[in-house]
Amino acid sequence: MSIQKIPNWILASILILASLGFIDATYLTISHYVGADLYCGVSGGCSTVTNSAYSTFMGMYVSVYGMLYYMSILISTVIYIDTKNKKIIKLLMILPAIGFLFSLYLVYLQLFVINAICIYCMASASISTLLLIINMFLIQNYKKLIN
Amino acid sequence: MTSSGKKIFLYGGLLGGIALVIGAIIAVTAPKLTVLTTQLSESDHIVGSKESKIILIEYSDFQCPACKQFSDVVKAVVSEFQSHIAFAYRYFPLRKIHKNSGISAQAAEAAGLQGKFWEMHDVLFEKQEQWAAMPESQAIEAFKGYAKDIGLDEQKFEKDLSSSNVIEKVAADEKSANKAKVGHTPTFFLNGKEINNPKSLDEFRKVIRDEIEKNNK
Repeated sequence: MSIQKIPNWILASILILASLGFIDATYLTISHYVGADLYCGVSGGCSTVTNSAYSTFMGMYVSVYGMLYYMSILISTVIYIDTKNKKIIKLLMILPAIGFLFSLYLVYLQLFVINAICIYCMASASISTLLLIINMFLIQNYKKLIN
Repeated sequence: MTSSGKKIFLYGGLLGGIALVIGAIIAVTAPKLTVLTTQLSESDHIVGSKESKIILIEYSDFQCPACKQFSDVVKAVVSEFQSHIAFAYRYFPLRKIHKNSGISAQAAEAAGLQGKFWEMHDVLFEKQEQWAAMPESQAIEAFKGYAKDIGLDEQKFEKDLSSSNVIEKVAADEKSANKAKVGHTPTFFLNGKEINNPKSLDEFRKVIRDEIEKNNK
């Protein structure tokens, strides 16, 4: 089987996942900046996590990076759909790997350092894991896609 | 579809979608600033200068982590401006999401009957993580322990904790909060007007200082 282009179902999954991630990160960011309490359900760990010392990273609120991350995936995917530019394929392979590693670090912080779980942060970590799985498919077919 | 039509559809959809998400979330989460009509009363827990014209009222929930975070900032601001402002703490237990919020408010009120509201207020926030997850009966035991630690008459505290006076006082605060459409905790009213929760101690200082200057003119 020769693959010249990224199949549509892959593109659609990336778009859907990145949109969900973007909504999630945007909710976290905006609630933070307007000072609203997160609606967290019964577990109640959200504010503990989002108000912790680890909620900022290099001077910026962590979910802002999440917004930028999902937004850059959305934009790259749309540019790819439009232009079928092969450089974008490379970008779509690198971005989810970075996102996944960063999520891994955040999950580690929640489980072992802050000892509280924020469902919105965990949702984002799940989304970046799914994006990584799709990324695996791209890497597997890297040669076929690039040539 | 023509290729430029397709481009407009793609990029327009992308930008429109992003704008829509941001706009919708701002609309949902943005605190709607409201005006508080209830003034200070005899039953309020007040620190600072009671005669002051500048009144800061906080609606708060002892089980809310954001309120705990704010309590240090509030303490710093209030002690700094204590000769200029009156600060009152009111109960707004978010009962639906915090199961011990109601009983913790009652504990503070019961301590208040023995003149140690602020001591209990401090302990409840300080030890929030300990009692927040407990079943109510266990939380009550914890509160009794705190009462002992801050030097309260334990028997009176236990009796007051579930007395109708105490329950009614908490309910009265909640009622005034609902009337003012308080939607989140903590919510601060400065001279009756809701303020956006300050992001830092400096920002809080500035809000208070501006209000003091306004009143001095």
